Amino acid sequence: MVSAQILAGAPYALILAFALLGALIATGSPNLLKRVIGVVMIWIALALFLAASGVLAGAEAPILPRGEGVFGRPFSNPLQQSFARGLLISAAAGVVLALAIIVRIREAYGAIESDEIDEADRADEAEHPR
Amino acid sequence: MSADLLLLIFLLTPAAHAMAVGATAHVPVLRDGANIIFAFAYASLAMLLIHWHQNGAQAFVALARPLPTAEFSFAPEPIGLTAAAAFAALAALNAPFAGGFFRAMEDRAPARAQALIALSVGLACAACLSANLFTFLLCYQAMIVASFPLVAHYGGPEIRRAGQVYLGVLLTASVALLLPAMAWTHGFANRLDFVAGGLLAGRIGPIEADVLLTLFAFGLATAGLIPLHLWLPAAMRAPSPAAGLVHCVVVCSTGALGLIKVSLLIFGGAMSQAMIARPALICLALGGSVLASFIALSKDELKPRLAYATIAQVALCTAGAMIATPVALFAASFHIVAHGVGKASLFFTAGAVEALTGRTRASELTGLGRRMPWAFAAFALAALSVSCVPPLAGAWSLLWLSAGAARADMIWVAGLVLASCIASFATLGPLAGKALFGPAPAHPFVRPDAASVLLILPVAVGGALSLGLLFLIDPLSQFLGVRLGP
Amino acid sequence: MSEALFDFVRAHAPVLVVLAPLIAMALASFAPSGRGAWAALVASAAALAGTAILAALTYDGRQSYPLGGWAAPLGIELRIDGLSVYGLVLIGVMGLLGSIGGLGLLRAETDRARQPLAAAAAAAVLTGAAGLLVAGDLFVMFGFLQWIWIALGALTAIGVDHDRRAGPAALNVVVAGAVASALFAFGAAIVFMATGAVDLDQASAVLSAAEDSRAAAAGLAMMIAGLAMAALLAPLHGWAVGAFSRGPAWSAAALGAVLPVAGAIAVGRIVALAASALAPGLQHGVSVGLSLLGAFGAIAASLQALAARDVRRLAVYIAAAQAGCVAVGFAAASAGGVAGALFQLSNLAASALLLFCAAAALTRADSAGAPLVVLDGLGRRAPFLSLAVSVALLTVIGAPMTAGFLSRWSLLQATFEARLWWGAAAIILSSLIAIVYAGRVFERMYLRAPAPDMARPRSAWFAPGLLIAASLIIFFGFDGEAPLRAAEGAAGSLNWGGR
Repeated sequence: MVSAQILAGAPYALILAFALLGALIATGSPNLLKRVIGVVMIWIALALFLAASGVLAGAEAPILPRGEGVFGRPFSNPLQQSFARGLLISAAAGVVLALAIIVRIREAYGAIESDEIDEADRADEAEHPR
Repeated sequence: MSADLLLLIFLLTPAAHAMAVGATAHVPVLRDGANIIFAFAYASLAMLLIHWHQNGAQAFVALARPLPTAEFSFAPEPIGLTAAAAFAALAALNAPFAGGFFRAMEDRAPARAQALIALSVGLACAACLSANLFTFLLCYQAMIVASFPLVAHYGGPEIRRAGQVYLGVLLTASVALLLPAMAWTHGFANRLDFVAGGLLAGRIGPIEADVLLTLFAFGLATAGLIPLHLWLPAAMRAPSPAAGLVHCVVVCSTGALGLIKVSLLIFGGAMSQAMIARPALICLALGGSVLASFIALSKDELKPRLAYATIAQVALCTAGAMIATPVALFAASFHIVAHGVGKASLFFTAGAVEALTGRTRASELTGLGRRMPWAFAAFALAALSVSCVPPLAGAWSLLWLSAGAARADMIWVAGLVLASCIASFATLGPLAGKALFGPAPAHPFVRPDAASVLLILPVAVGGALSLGLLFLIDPLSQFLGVRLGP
Repeated sequence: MSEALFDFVRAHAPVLVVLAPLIAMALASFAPSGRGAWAALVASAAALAGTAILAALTYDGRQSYPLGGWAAPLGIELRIDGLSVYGLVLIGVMGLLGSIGGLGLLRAETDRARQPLAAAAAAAVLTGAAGLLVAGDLFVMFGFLQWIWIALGALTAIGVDHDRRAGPAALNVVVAGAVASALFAFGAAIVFMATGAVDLDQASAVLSAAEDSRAAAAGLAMMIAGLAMAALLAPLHGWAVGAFSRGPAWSAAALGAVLPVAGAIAVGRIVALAASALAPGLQHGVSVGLSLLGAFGAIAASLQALAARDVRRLAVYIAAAQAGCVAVGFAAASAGGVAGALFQLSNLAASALLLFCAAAALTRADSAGAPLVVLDGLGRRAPFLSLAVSVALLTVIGAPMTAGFLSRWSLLQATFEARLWWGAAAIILSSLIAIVYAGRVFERMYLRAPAPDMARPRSAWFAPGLLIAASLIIFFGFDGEAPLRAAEGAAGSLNWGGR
């Protein structure tokens, strides 16, 4: 009984661990590109988390079969899947913007490592003291 | 003219005063003239307010309603009126003195100092006349802010630090202790008005009363309760007319008056609930008073010595407010007046000596009384009066405070009060004696031509007042509605 | 005619407040010149403010607006209730006053080609903020939250041409924003799994009936943590420091007062959900957690303000310190506490507008930012501007006779009532620290002589905003009845009774 509960919870635990890893990379990595990869990991984990919560064992995808207009077998909850889709769209927008900003940073600083960028900022400040 | 209008004019006069002094800043004659005229007009208005109040005219002015349950309003009651009138009268005496002092010292910005003195006194008087705790807090904080530039008047890094101590201690206490006390009071009573019989009477239990009373006593830090007294020595960087009248008399006494008002009109009957805080605060005030006198003895600079003496002497008002019997409260109110007159006179002498001889140390005063007899006669009278030595005015404070304590079954307090008075006599009495009877110095005056009548007249009048106040006790007790005697 | 217009606006208010800036965003991005795009932004902010004020004046209970006629469980519903109408009026007015000031700086600081895009991005942020306030379900809230970060990231990135440090700041907004909105979405997903509902009302109803609401409590806590970033709660306010002190100066003026309001109101909404639906013990846990976060934020941000060397950073830290006080009020989770929090929020908005506008006006053209030295002698160089800064600082301190006193006062009352002693201590301590940093600014403005090479502050376009915000602060300090009633009404429109 207890082991069944643990088994049922295992996918969620794995997904949360993956999201946590993503959060660590997104906030901690000195490489700006890796930060964006961390963000992508969080979004993927979130989409999986949502979709997993709506899955029925042995059920179909919630897509109407062509021509018939009714489901023949049980199907997974479509609500979560539509949430996950909406979420991925907004996530994609953010990731694309982040990549574009990284391109601009590289043009301005010639670097995409945050410590090199901080170094350049400090040099600027030393040149123009406040 | 209605009493309300008179009160409004009284409250607004200091603003006009400051503006008039500012407008005439570059013409010394006009500036000092305006300063003196406005100060005397202000004092006359205060006397008129008292007169009308005696004839039964209840004045009330409401200017705004910043809180749904509290107006920004003023309503004179006898104790506040007495203190305000005393401040205004002393300010009138201080005005010519300030004129003479700043001229003799060739001050850089006398107009600014005079305007700020007027504003500080005006805000203190407004605090005295406030109708509720909120208005009191507002005027009290404004007074602190207005008197701060006086501390920083001479400029420079050391003096800036003193100014930071002044503002830091007083504002921190008022925001961190007084404001929560007020908010908590509001939580109990849902309003903040000063009410005869006490706003909190019957509304709070012993623990709340203890905590609240402690918050009030330390929050009103200008009363100089001992760990929060450091602002006053710091304020002695101000020029003498400001350090004496504004900081040692007006600011300090406003804190004491606040405590009296809190005790009488906020706590009222609830004072008896504070069974721990009351005796503890009395011991702290009077024990601190003795300690402050010892510190004063160790100071050779005259102004810091007078500052510590002030801490020691205003503690009697705090003790009176905590004893909280009608007679003790009367004694505390009377002491505000008597101490104010005496301390202002002491500073008048100290300022005149500084201006004429350049001497600022107690040890340098020896024998100076033989060269400046009037000034030092006044100094001696005032010193004895503020130390509660009979037969001068201050003796009444000692007497009635002890009587009040006895009626509250706190006879031990009388012993502490006596100890405090003896200690404070030790700080000032021998000083006056040495000055009067020591060997006369040969050539004391560095600026003999500066001895104008402006500088000397207030000194003499102040000394005479210390003596004359002795006869004010009966009318004052009638005005305050206290039956003295057995 | 005008009556028909009023009725139309009134009936469609929940969608109009989102549509107005959305349309402005489209118009601005195709506008031929920066001036035209800026006009679209200002017009949309005016429309937002007007609609919100109309909705506030005619408010008579909650108004639902099913998009496309699809009602709540299946379709998307936008809603206006007391809380959102309060926030909408604030962001409308602050967005309008702030963006009016932006024109001069937009033209001075931004390339001609990018001016329309910049105005469009600002309109997009406004859209997201309005949407966050009217969203009726958790996933729409998430959508608008993520929208805000993307738009603000784009807007900040436009500053790279002027100051290259805007680039990393913009990336920080996007990345940290993504983490925050993902945290919110995880929380929402957990609530959805626990209740089967994303609609706020439905979730509340299901939770009230549920026996075990522990999972949902965890979800709600995660959502609050995600929103706390938008609400500028320290230590989650790092994004704002970069975006508002290194991005285009005018964007901070236009949006610095808008975002904390939207975030805080959203926090309030989730706190209300927790208060009405969770078991008392769990609800208390959420409250204590939020109050600790708020208390920490108020003190930490105040200390940072003490150390700030740049006027724009100082403005961010001051806003964050007040946001901490707002959170403490929300944590009291009573009508009185929330009213105090909302009043403090309007105070935050007004003072943030003043400080961000003043900072923008003082920002040097040579990309050196606005070091504190630009304040030296401001009292003589620009008396009006320095007066506005003084009013803002006084209200931040909570000095009597400013609106700040009344808001601190009502917050203190509420924390006493809720026995959140540490919250009360944090509010008082932040006031005390404010005295110190405000004192330093006063000293610079009024006692120091200006440095020789000081440029004139570019404050002409900011004048209306500065004038209106400063006079409101003073006026409400003398008579606080009206805003206090409004805040109480807004707080009272939600259910704080618990189950």
